[in-house]
Amino acid sequence: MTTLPAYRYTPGPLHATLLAGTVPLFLGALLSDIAYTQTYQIQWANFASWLIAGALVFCGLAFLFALVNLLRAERKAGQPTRYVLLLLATWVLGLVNAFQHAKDAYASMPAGLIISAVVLLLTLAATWTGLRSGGAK
Amino acid sequence: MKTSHALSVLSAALLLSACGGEGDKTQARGPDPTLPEQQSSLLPSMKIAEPTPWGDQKPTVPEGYSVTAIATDLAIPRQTLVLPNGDILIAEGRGGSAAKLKPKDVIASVIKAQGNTKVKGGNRLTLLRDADGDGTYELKTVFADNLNAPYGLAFADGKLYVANQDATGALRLHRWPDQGQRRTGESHRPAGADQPITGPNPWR
Repeated sequence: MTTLPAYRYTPGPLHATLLAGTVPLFLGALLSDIAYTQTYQIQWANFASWLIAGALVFCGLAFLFALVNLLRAERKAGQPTRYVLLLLATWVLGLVNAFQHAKDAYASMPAGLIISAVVLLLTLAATWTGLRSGGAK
Repeated sequence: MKTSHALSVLSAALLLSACGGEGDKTQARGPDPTLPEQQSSLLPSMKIAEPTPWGDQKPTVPEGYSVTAIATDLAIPRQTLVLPNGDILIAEGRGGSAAKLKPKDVIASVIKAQGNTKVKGGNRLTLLRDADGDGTYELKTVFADNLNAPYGLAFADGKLYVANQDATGALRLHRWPDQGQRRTGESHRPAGADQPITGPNPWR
């Protein structure tokens, strides 16, 4: 572990992989939800459920990395804190989304679709913030 | 004017009938049943009943009668069939092996298992026989095994039809039990659950 100046903190390769991995998973869930509302083919709902579950694993591990980094950071205010909070919000709403998708058949819609869209925006924001904190000040 | 009057009479009648329904809120019946409000929540509130063994408990029977177990230590008995000669066939097994389509199914199977017996399903048919008619079933033997959670049982035309959870087949009885010998011959053993339904009698 190298000690970096607080404002030049960069997520490690594993951390970055976990973080960025949440994006396609939540994106896939949203696309599956859209397909489900268009076709009513229940298999899309199954796909979305598993994609969300996978995204929660990635997001949760990335959050642990981010939290440890934040606790170790000398300067916590600003971007590091914002990144961790965004990631936490993504995970919590993602968990709500998982429960929403656990409802039988079309009972998960249309709320599941809306939450999926919000979660995708959150995870994009979190990933952007997290990876950006490396290069920029 | 006349319509509105009729409407108010109708609504008054509806109100009255609604009042009449107030008396019994426990039962949803009649032409205007009182249904409970629809419930929806992220985390369903549920209570898993804890399985309790019978122990020494027995069903209550009228005076002059008594209750005794005719067979114990069965592996999840689910269905019985009394054969024409008085023998009793018991289908034993545990259903399940449904595909886990969602993450929920994985979690739910763990939770639901808490409300179920830990006994392993027998996947077999057990035959009980009371040859001397004294009410004690002295013979208890495995009639057919390697089945897949058998449930439905039917006897017709010398054949025993068994519904596995994934197929239905017939066991042809080589010698009918009342001739003093139960079904014999390896060729008539059921091949098991993986046997496809190829005809009216796949297990022949």
